[in-house]
Amino acid sequence: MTSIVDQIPGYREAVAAEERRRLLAFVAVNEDLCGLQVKPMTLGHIITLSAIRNAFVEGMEPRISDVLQVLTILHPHYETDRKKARKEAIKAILKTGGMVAAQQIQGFIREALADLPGSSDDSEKAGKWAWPATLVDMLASEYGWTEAEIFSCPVKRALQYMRVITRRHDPKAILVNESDTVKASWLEKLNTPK
Amino acid sequence: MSLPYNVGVTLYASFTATINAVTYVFNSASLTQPTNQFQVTDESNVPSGLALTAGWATGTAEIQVNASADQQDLRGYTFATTQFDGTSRTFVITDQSPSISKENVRTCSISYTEVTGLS
Repeated sequence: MTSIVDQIPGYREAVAAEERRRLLAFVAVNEDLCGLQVKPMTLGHIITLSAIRNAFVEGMEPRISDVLQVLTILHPHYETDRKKARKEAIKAILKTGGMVAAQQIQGFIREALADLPGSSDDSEKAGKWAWPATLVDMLASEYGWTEAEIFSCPVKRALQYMRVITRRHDPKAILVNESDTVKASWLEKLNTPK
Repeated sequence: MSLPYNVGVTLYASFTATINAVTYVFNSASLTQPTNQFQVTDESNVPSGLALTAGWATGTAEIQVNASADQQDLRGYTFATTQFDGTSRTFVITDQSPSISKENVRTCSISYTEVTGLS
């Protein structure tokens, strides 16, 4: 019986990249985005961007103003010197180019949210609360963290903690990995009638 | 006296199997081979004999398919696997959890029981 890892092209590499991404989430350094040093994305950043209806988190086509919002809000000086943060964000956009910057931001956000749980196919369409409430509730009840601490935790780490908690409470809980998309693409070819 | 059959869980590596003409990846598949015990007593209800026979092998797995594949109720369908020693085993799906989807991935948990006499 051939191992799945060897059977599916690119799967081994996807798993290795995923392991590295997850481990690097615990390195406490700023990240590079469009040539700018930015803070790792937190739940607080996502909520702020949602509140101003930023296209990157709302799933819409981004405009240059959306690019500027993301780079400004993620800038390390955003809390203390917004003028400086905005100025450096504009510089970064001019240097990178709006289109490339938008693509890089999409990749940055996708990576930050890669460990978001999947959705149940039989779940009700009308939710009972916003998804950050689930994360806050889990981390607060398990670790005793305050809401402020959870909002400032890099979302890449928070979502991994959420997975650990989920699996601890239910050893058979289904957790979808980003690398599973490689398997799904391979299965799609197999399962599509020729 | 040693038990004639393995008791416990056999963990399988990931593998693929076809269910109702659709290929699935099986993750975290497990198989339990139980032993049934038959006790015989004499007319005074004193134990006088014991026989051990193999029970039905049952298992669970988390299975994955491409999200674009038709969503199916898999209960009652069979799938076959080939062991490392080349032996083929056939199982019938007895239960299925609601599925979870993310991007192009759809996954669910299933329970199954080995069947004999099918190919």
